Amino acid sequence: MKFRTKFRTVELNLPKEVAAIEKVLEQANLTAASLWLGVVTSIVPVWSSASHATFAKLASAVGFTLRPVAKPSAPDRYVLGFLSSQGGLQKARPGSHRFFYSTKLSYLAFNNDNIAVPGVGGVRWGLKAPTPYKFVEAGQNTFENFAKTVRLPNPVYTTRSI
Amino acid sequence: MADIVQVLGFEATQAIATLGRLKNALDQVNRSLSTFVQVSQALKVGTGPLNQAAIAAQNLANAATAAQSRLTALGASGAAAGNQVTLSWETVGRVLQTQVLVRGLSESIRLFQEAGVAASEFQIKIAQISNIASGPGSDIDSLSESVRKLSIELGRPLPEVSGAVYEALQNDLGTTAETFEILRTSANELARVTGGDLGQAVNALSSAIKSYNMTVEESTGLGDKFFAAIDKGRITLEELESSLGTILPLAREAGVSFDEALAAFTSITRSGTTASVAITQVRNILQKVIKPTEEAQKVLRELGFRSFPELIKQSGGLVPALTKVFNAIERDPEKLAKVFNTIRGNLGALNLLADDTKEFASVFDAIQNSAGRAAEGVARIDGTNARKAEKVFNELDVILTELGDSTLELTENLAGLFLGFIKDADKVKLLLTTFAVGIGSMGAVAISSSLGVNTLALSVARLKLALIGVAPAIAGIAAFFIAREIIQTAQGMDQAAVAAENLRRALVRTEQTEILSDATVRVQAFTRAFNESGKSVSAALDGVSTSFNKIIFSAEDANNRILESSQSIRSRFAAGAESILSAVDTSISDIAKRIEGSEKAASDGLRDLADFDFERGIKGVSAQAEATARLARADEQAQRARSARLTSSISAESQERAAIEEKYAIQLAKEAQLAAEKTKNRTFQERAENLVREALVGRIAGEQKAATALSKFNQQQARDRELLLIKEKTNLENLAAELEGLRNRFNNDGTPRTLEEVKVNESLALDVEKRLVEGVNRFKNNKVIKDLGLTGLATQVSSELQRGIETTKVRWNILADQLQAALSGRQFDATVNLAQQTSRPSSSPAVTEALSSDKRANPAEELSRQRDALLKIVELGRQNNAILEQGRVFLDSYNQGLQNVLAAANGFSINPVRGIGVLLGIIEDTPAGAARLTEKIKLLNTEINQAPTEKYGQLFAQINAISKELANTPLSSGSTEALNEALDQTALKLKTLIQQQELLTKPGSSDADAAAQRIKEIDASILALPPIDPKVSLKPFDDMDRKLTQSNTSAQKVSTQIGTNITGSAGTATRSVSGLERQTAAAGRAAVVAAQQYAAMARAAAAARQAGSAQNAYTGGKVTYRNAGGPLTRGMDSKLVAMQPGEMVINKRQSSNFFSQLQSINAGQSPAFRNTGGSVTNVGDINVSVKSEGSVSAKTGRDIAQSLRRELRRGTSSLG
Repeated sequence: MKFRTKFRTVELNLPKEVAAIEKVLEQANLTAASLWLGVVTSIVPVWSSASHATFAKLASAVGFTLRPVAKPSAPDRYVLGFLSSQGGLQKARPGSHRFFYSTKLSYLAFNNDNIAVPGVGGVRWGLKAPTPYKFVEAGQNTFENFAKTVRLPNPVYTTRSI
Repeated sequence: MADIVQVLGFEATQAIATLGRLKNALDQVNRSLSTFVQVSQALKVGTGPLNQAAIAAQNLANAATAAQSRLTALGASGAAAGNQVTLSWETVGRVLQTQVLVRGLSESIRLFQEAGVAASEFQIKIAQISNIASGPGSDIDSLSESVRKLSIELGRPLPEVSGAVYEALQNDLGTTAETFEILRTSANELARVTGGDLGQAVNALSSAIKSYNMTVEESTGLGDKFFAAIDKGRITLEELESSLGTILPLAREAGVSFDEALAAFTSITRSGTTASVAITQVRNILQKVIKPTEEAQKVLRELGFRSFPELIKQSGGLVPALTKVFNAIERDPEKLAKVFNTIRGNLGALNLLADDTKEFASVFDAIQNSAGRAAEGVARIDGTNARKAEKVFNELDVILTELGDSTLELTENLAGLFLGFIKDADKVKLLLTTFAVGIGSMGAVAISSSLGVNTLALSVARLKLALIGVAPAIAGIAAFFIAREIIQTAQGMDQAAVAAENLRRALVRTEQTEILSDATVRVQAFTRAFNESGKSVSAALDGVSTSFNKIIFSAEDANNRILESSQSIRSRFAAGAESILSAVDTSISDIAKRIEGSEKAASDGLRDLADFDFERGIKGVSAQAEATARLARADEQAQRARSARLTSSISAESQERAAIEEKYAIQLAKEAQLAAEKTKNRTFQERAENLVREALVGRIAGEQKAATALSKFNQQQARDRELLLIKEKTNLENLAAELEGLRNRFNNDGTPRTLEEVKVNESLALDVEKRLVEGVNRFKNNKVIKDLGLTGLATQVSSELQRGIETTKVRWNILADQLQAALSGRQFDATVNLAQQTSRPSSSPAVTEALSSDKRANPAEELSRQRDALLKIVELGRQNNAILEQGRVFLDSYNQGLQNVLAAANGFSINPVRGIGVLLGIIEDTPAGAARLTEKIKLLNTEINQAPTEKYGQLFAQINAISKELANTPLSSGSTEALNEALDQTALKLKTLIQQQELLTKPGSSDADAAAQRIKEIDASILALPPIDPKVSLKPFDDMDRKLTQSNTSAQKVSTQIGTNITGSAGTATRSVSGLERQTAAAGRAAVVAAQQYAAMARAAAAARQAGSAQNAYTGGKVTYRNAGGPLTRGMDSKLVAMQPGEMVINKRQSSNFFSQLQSINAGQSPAFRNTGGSVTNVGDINVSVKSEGSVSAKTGRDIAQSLRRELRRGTSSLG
């Protein structure tokens, strides 16, 4: 007598699941970068537009509108800020989505961590905006708050019983 | 100033990697399932444990499917909320999913350990049972078997059953068999329906049985009554077990039935009284019944009874009796309190009498009408999938416990193994505990996974346990426990789902304000957990698949080894047999040659000796006698020469030997002719002339025949080469056909093929083409091809080869294009249409050339002729092969057939009667009368040359007619005989031709056909052998392999022995040959010595024969026959002289008279004459001239003196 039984198991559509993860993370990364830019540009004031220009590359990469205009009383140092900074999106490998920002603009870095006092750290005069800016920390907090809301796609939708 | 650098983002690579591993694990499960099915089918396990396991697995699968449905519904109901479920809960869901598996592994370790402990505990318990049991079946082995069977039958754990057996025996309920029967029926039913264990049921039943002295039969309905009591009351089996023993003996003594006592106790609990209090109340009542108070006695007396038992008996029970007492005291509770005189007894009585005893009556009625209730409850429970699963697991536990010491050892090993890869399981558990459950739709996935794993694992475990024991089943058992945990988890999904849903709702409510842990951290934690669980899953499932793969690989490996061994043995046998036959042939041929050479040398030596004897024998005989002897000897040699010629073969040795005989016959005939001339006898002379003529004619014929034989020998060599050529060509044809077949398979059917199929086809095609290249190179470089003038064919074959190679390149190009198209997303079509390739951009000039190679420059007629010639070669070659194999054709016929083959191959016509040329030569030498016949035979020869083979019969008739006519023609006797002989030879050749023609025109040898058929049958039988199934048991393979190895060893021994024998035979033959060679050498040396002696004797004989001439010559005249030398032994001569023909002998007297002149002559000087005056005196070779002028005397004297001095100084003269 032969026995007859039906074996059942599960099959995972890995490419579909990975694609779904990629899509979610890519969108989340863009959103996170935009939120980050929104926060930091609201903290860092515009005078010569150099500081805001340091965010231009990242803003361009994520489609964030950034139109800094130097104050009429200030020299336009947009180019200085642009050339002294880097920014953009990174996707080193599947599942890894990042955005990055860096600048060598010394007084922006100083003002971020210190209280601007004329004669110290290259600061020539006092600033109307409160210092330290702490825009880096603020940006990170924004990111983390957003990240808590990010959901990875449930693999149950790419899994089927066979 | 420090720069600012910030990199933020999301990292899910570990999650993706873990998903990949999960996919691999699932794929492995699928493959394992497939493999498992295949192996199961191969093993043909249709019944027994596997079947049971499959059925059990199916039941479990059904149960799990039901659970899945519920969970699916649950998932749907929570869909709306699920949209709002946060990431954390989805993550938790996945954690749960993996946690299930991890817990399975962890649980498996625990169960293995428990199994070992259980085994030892079980053995101890059985020993204890054996100590108190008596009667048949009380030994340890029987008890072990009975307890195991009971455990499996009841579906209860082995320790519980063994404990219950011990309790039952200790309670002394009956014989061992009766005890087991109670356990199997009443106790089991009671425990099952009440949710208690078997030991509690046994104790409860024992209380009743022992208190009321029931028999086993009487105890049948006890389980039902207990169940009814538990059902009606607020009591448990455990409470019954622990308390009944305190009231039932009192009840029996008070005359209260078991049913009533049980009902009283039960009914009291229905009022909310705890079981322990209720039992105290009943006990107090019974105590007062047995020992009534004064007030009670007063009431009894009023009622007319002396005791409560009497009242109970009269009233029909305890409660009616109490009712009468209560009524007698006017239903006054205070008086009732006095009757019982204890608070508990009073309360108990009031409880029983409450509501006019309706509560009691209800319980009592239920207990009395409880028959069969327990069995119904058991049936309902057993019908549930959960109960079925429980029974299956319990049975597996029993089996595992049976493994005994082996399991203990296995447990230790497995524990180490599992601990190695789940050492961080606690972290995962913590996750599960912390985040609780977000079941939802994830439950369905978990169950689906569990179904597959469960089914596989159960089957694997049972299969392994049943078939191959413990050791190979590690992976299967591990998988089984994983599955078990999954199943248990799945069964608990209902409760988990409810809890999860509640928790999820609570968490969703609080999530708005809750600050959860940072997302990245959670994702990383999730991926770590997932990674860890993935490792565990992969490792466990790897074990499962590895276990099966090992079996399959082992089978395949065994199969391959068998095939290799058989092929090796076959080839070794074939090679060995061929080598042995070749060695034997070589040895035999070598021995034959050596023997033949030895015989020839010995024969020559003997003949030389005979010659010597002959020459010695004829010394001194008369000329007539010598002539007679020499004629006879010449006749004998002529016969020998004829015989040698007639029996000569094609071999050079044979021809040489015949030629030697003929030359010797000529020599002897000429010697006989010389002897005959000496006799002056005409008869002798004619006879000798005939002998010489006959010998010469025979020699001429022999030379012609030798030339023919030489030609045939060369032809045979050519034929051998041609056979090789034919074989090569056949191989080429086969290869070409094979290649064409592949091309057709590849090109022409128009069916799109998979890439793998295309690769295989191309690989085969390339392999065939490679062999074709080798074959063609051999073919076109074969000297025979050039000798046959088939260079055009070779060129054609090469051209075809080149074309094939080019078309292969084209195909590859097409494939490359198509593959590229497939990679770019277009449909892949491996069909190749060579006819369309010219339009392809990738077509190269070489390809175009190859395509146009059909328009070859070779004329069609030439190709057709060459092909026909080759076909004829093949056909005739096959016929010749058949002739060779049959061995029924003589060598001449065979050679003639070969000649036909060669002639046909060259496109030449056949000249089958070359003997005619010899005949014509002889006819031309005849003195007269043959001119007419000569012309006629020339015409005949021409006709023969031009005739087709079927006319040979007619020509043969004409030859016969000419032969008869020739016999009547007046020719000289010698000419007539020679003509007749030549015609006979011609006729013989024609006859041979006809026979050979008949053989060649036969379709083939029946023997050869039969042999070919037999070979086909053998091949077919080999091919028809059933293929070895790699999936069957390994043992037959190992046996076969071992036997094959033994056979191989035996074959090698036999082969070695044969080789040794051959070597021994060859050594013996070599020694024989060496002996013959030594004898031959001795004979040769003897022959040389004899020849030297013979030469000396011959010279002596010649000298003797010339003796007469010498006697005449001493008186002057020409010396004849002195060239043979020899002593002069007759007359007055006393000195031996050696003379050349033409030398003169001067007698002694005249030599003295003319000594000086003779000396001058011998010195080459002419004697001088005094015709010019003066004296001339010659002394020896000294010329003395004396002139007559002046004082001649003085001058003459001085001259003479001077000459003498010179003569004396030279030593040529002396003065004596």
